[in-house]
Amino acid sequence: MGRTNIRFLSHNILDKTDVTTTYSSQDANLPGDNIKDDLRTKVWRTTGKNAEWVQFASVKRLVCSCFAIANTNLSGNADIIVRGDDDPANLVDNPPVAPAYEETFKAYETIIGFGEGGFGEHGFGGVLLPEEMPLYITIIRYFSEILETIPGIPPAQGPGGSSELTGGLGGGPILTGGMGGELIGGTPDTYESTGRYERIYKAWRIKFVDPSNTNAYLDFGKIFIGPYFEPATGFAFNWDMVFVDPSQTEYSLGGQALSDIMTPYNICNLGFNKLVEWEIFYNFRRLVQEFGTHKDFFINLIPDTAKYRILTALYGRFVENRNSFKNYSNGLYSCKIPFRESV
Amino acid sequence: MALTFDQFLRLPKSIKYFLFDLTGWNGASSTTFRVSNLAKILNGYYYEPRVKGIPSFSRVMQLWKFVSSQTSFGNLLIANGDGQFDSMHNWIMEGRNFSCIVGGGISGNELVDGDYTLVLKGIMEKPEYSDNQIIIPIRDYSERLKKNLPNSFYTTAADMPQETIGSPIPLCFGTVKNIKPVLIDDFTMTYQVHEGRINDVPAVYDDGSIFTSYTKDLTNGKFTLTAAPVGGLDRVTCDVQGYHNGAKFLTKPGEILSRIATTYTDLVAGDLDAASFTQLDVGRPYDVGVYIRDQRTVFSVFDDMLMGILADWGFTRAGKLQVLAFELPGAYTEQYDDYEMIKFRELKNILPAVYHRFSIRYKQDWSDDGKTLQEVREDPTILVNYADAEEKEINTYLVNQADAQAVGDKFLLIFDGTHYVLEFTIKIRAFVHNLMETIRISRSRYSMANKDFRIIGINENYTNNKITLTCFGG
Repeated sequence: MGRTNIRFLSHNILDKTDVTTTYSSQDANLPGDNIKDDLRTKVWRTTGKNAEWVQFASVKRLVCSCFAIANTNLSGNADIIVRGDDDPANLVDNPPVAPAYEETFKAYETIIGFGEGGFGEHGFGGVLLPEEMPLYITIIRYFSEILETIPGIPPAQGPGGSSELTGGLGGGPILTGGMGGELIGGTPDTYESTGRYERIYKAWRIKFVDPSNTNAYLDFGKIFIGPYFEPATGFAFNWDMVFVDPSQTEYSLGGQALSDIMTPYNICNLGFNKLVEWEIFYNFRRLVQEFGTHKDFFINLIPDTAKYRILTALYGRFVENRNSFKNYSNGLYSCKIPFRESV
Repeated sequence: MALTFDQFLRLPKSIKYFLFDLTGWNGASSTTFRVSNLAKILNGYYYEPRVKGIPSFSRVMQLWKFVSSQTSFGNLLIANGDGQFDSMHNWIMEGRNFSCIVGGGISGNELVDGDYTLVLKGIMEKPEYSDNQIIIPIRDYSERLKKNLPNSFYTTAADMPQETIGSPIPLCFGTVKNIKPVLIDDFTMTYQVHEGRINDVPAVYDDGSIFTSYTKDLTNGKFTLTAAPVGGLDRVTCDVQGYHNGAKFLTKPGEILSRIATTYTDLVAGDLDAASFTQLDVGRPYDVGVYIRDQRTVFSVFDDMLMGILADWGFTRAGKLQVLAFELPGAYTEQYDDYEMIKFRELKNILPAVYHRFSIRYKQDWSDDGKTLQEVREDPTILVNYADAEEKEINTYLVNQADAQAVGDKFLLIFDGTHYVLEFTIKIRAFVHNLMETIRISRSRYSMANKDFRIIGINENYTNNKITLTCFGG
């Protein structure tokens, strides 16, 4: 972590033809398969809100390290539980065998870190209060790092006997170690960082628990689950985000402003320098070729820090139908790709 | 805060959702395609934001050209570059229903879903499919008035004259003079004047002379001679008080046209702006009569009856058949000034001609090539002011001289040259105004403070949200 500040969430296991998708419930006119449609506003609407889920299964193993949801009405109190296992039977509640992977996420993370911002702003730990929560926004979550156990040294115990790895102020785990959250290998802790986040299972389930939602149903626009791509090797990256309001205003003969309000959106101008050859040819060119200006995907600016993710999780597509990859210096490349948020 | 629909239409800035329901038919079942300019879930249905071009609405009265008004909607443009709507090609869209619901507001001040309102309703024409888009022309329901009437025909019966077999069964509404009834039995000397119940056959003529030897079958619109006419069976004519609905003999234009529209077209009572038909009979309380022996369109009956009494017909935005009497400005319902207008001009090119004399033709002789009586109404002062003022003959279905006089006076008032036509554009109040509604205009220029006008033309472009009203009065 801490190396880069953009991730592309593009290759969705939902798009694979051999993946079977099932839903806990679905509205007759807003079926589950709407989450496969590019239109973020075309939602899957459940008929309940306490324990809804979508499950993806294949005969092949599916690599996932994150998920994203565009356009959901999940409330600030919602929990999202992700489970992965080779046997779909283990993905249910109270399974015969515990799933190989299970992780619970809060739907929304802190936007103001503890100790930042004015006194009394937002909820405990900087989480948005329910009344502050903008409905139908984009959520991106990354699976926790896979840690390896160093045998022979027992874990340190916190007050009350629980592990110090749980129970941070923001509700999430506090990992001991370096400033960036990395664990320092070889310490007398129980776990050691592997730098790996991908889990590989044949079946996945995302469960939503939101009993305090003001609606009797839950809506989900586009759902992504799969791996992400992140330029890795010493590249330089800059971006600027342009807020576009296409509304039009005319003035009457007497001077009154009369406006036709249109839906605003962001254009994010992405600039990369010093990309290595395999990144350009394997990742960027593939993105341009497969998605171009015709298909939406997620990007996440500043993925390292959760507190801005509510602002920097974008769902959209490239704007330009021609993108150049420029030879920056020997073996290194640069490119500029404008990305437009889909509304 | 929740808005009312009227408040929403007055907002100087707002976001507007146009939600379209397009009904397709495959010969056995129907389906509804839902598209919109902005994504919206309404009543549990998703409206996909594929609309690139929103149909407009235009309805313009052209009474001074002595033709009926025209209603047009323009085209609906649906983006389909991704082929997601290719399946529409498998459905019959032409002739099927199109409707548009509107709502919106501004953040924190929006219409609730239940207050989204149907504003446009019409018929689709055959779509044009291309790689990137689908173009669906929209039109009003006026095609449905192009049905012919009468729409029942005589079939072979005992003693029916050969020339009667296969001919239409006549229709008669209101009071008509000296019509030629249809001889349906030359043995019993029975004639028919209307398919169904009539009010009376007050007089029968034998080659122009009063003939009293006949019996009436009012329930079936028939009468039978009880003695042979001197002039022969084909020289018999009669006066008739036509269609009777069981409770009432219909004599006024609104009630007769309402009956014709709901009986001889696909329209049902709910498709009519019933209040407008009632109001027509208040504004034009004149007796009219029409005898329909040979086939003609409902469209033409509406045109001919209404033009003669300075009235018009057409379809509203919501697809309702409406009739309107042309009047000088009355009590205004809305006021506009420079604060709302983004464009203003007086129109010289559509000013009506000035007339100083009208000859109103009434009491048509239905057996003698339309021979009529005439009532001449004129105003010499108009000639003083406008030396080139013209004169005009007006054909009507009127029955009485007093009514012809009243109509002639109305024509003189409208066409006396003292009124003018103006046009202005606003960006609020779409879907609100109707033709013949009185509004007040206030401008500091051209002596136009607090002047009242009747709306005679509406052109609403929803893509750029510009409403242009053409008005008559001043």
